Amino acid sequence: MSRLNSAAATFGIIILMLGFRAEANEYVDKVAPILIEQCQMCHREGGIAPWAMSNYQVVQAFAPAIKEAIVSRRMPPGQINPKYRDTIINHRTLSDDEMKTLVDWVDAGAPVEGCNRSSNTNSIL
Amino acid sequence: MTQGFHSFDHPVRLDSFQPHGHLRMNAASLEIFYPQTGRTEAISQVSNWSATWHHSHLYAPEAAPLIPAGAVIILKQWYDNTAANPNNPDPDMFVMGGSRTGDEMTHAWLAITHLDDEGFEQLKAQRTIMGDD
Repeated sequence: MSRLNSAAATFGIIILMLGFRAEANEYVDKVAPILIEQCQMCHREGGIAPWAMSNYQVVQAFAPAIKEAIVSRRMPPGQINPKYRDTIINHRTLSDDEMKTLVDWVDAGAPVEGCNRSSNTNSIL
Repeated sequence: MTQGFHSFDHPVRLDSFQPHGHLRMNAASLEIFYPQTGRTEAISQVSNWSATWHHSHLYAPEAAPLIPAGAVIILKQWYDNTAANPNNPDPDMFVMGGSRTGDEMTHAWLAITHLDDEGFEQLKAQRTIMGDD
């Protein structure tokens, strides 16, 4: 029985570690991919947007502005109704899940654990 | 609300939809009316249109509407001519259609692939295989 408890405890610890790891990589695994897919078409060097998402520092600095822009639905600028979103390859709208991921990340203080901070990589990852 | 209609004497595939209007327009939709059955199918809708962004909405290849010969494409557009619309230059003005920014338009650019009957049936069959019919 104690062996079983021990196994259960180990299993629990592994689950906790997995959970921690997923949270730690929230930026790299979930947030950055949305920004790359939905924003960097314009928010890049030479793009039509007024600022470029060129690295994680810029993204962090603009995090409150990103939240304001997406919650007010000013950005991304796509206009197609959600019902037809999946039929359009360039809809430029956020799903509810994408919106929640970005807002939760900004509200958590825009942490960037897991991203490459060793040099100026010209990448937001 | 305004409407425009168009039909082709041959089948077509609709590849994109870009509604266009001026300062008072705020919504647009696209529907297909099938005279044989009397059915109308909504295929696109923009409920929060703004003249500050003009998007050409590109259909995914597997979702691009296949429109049979004789079916009617219906474009509907809505306008806010009240003082509550901050883009409205003059809520008291009687507005006509025209090219000037202060005029209005019911307009859309549609990218169309013209098909013959054989090509139309082929594309429909492909959709059926993909389970999308």
